[in-house]
Amino acid sequence: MSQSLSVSASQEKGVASPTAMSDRWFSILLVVPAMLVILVFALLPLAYALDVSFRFADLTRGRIGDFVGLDNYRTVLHDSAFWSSVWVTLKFTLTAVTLEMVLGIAIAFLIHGATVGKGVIRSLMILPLATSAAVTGLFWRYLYDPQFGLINYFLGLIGLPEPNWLGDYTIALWSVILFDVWQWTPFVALIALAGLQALPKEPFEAAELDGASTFRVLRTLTFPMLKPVLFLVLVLRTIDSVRLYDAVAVLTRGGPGTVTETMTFYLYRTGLKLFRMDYASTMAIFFLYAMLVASLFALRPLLTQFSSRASEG
Amino acid sequence: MSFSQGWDTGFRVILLYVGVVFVWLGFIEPYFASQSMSVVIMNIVAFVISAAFVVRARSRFIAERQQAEAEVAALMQEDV
Amino acid sequence: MLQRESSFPKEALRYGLIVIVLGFIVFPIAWMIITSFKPADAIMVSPPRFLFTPTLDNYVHAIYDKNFLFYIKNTLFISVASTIIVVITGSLAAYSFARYNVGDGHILFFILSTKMFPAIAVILPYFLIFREVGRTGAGKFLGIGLDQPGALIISYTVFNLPFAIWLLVSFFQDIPRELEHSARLDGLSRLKVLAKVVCPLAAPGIAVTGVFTLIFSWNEFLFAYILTRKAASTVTVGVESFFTLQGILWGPVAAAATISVLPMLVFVLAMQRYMVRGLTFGAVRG
Repeated sequence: MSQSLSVSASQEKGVASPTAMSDRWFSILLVVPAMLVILVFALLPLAYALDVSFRFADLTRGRIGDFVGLDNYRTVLHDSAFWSSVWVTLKFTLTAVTLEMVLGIAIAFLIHGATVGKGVIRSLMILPLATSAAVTGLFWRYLYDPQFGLINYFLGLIGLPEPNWLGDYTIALWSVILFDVWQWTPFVALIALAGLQALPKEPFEAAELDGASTFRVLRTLTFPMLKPVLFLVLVLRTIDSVRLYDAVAVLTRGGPGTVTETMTFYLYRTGLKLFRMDYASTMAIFFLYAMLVASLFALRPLLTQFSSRASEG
Repeated sequence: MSFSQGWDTGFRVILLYVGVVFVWLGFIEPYFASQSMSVVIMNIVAFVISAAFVVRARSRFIAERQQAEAEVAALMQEDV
Repeated sequence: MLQRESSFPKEALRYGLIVIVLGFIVFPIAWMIITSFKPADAIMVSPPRFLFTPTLDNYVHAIYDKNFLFYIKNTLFISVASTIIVVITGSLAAYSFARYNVGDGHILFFILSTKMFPAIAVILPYFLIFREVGRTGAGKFLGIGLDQPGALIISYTVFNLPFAIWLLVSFFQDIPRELEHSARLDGLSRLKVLAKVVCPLAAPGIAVTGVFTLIFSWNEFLFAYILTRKAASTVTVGVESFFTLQGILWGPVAAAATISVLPMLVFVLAMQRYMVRGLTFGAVRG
């Protein structure tokens, strides 16, 4: 590579004239294509959604209609189905993310202490992450099947009750959570493991010489040093959980009743089943607002920290 | 205020304004008899809160800068 | 970390737990692959049957009767096209962010915050816009409209670009600047430096980003589900076509799911060294 570089360098010497553009213009020019794509295809649709959220738009009655001011916002804010979908989303997010974090971190410690076979273990852990929730989720319906499903077969073997996983309204949300935990716990574990392996050795050796207890080492050394990585995982998982759609769509379609109807699924149903584009767009704006506020408080400081460390190192 | 601080403050102010509107429509407006009256007051309140936020951010940036300048000045004196 | 002398029972317990965890993780995928080889009379039985004569009937049904390869072909075309666009525009932008720090970090954060957009929030405008555009002559010609591949290519490009830029920035930051400086001093133009010095060095990172983009596009469901009906449907939606009035044909579903999941499993295993880095937008260099 370095050879080809020097050859071409000698050939091109005269070409780079002093009139060549400045660093500034060059750098801006490089960003333009990507920015165009993002501005045109991400911001314009959002502007459109904002516009629709101020209008009457019942697609079953034809085109987008008249300007109605803030009426759609009033309707949605006082819609109990909307709030119950928010509540379902919060319940799901809180439970799934907590379970994934706790189990993931525990598994990371488990694997970190292993002496042989780490490579194989890691490869197997990655598998759920490669699959689409829409495809494997669909197959989980077969596993959950009360009559032919393998899960109830195993539960029956140990003599435990065999619930109707997706049909019982007290359990359905837990079934969706279990699927999410299956798919994403390995993600937490892998990143926590990477964090553990990147820890410097010296402080731990010193602590061992001092005869510090394992618990003390964990509390004063390991967790404080892992905190940035764990916080990043937490934020990424939370963002994804709030946006949950695929698993609900293939596992329960929001049912039974509306007990697993998350915000995204309710929005989809309002907009594309009931064709009330106005209410759906309004919810989309709410959703977007919540995500922007969250990203301001959680993601920005975090990623600044990581990216500044990267540019130093 | 530098460009970077301005950008950041602008972004936050927009979020703050919209947030006030949402909270107002959800919780406060039902107590108003007239909807148009409520909207007018809502915008005034949102504007006042946003303006207060900008003023506070500005004074904080100025204070930070003065502090930084004072530190630099102190260091310079030590050197001498 | 701490290398204490480990006793045998402790190690046995550790590996016992690891095996249980791995069992839980691998089992659903394994059972899916096993089911795909089951004859029809061994699928809907209680208790589940573990011993059976393997058959390819389900694959035959999925491929010939349900025309599943059609969905594979669609998905391949759509995800490869969008990956190419993402990698090219993303690399240019990421290089600029990593080296020239355009926009002082603010543009980079703006790009990231578009990644935070809930896809569902833009899907309604996409639906309405593509419906209109698809009716115009230009829309028909370019294949941009509901149930046409262009709509999905655009959607996937927009939604993968922020991720790709962030990951690529982290890879470009790893390349030492000295080589570029000396190449510039040798008289190469900036564009030539980028093409002949930086790109070869960044090639592994660009490849990794491309594969990630491909996987995400391949596995995407929401856009494919809402913006397509039949003609441009992708595998994730295609699997749903196995729902019939008589119920779900689990054998063919398992076969189709296996076909659609397998290529991505292979990709991911090949890339496992970069998995952690990719999944954290380049923030954690595992």
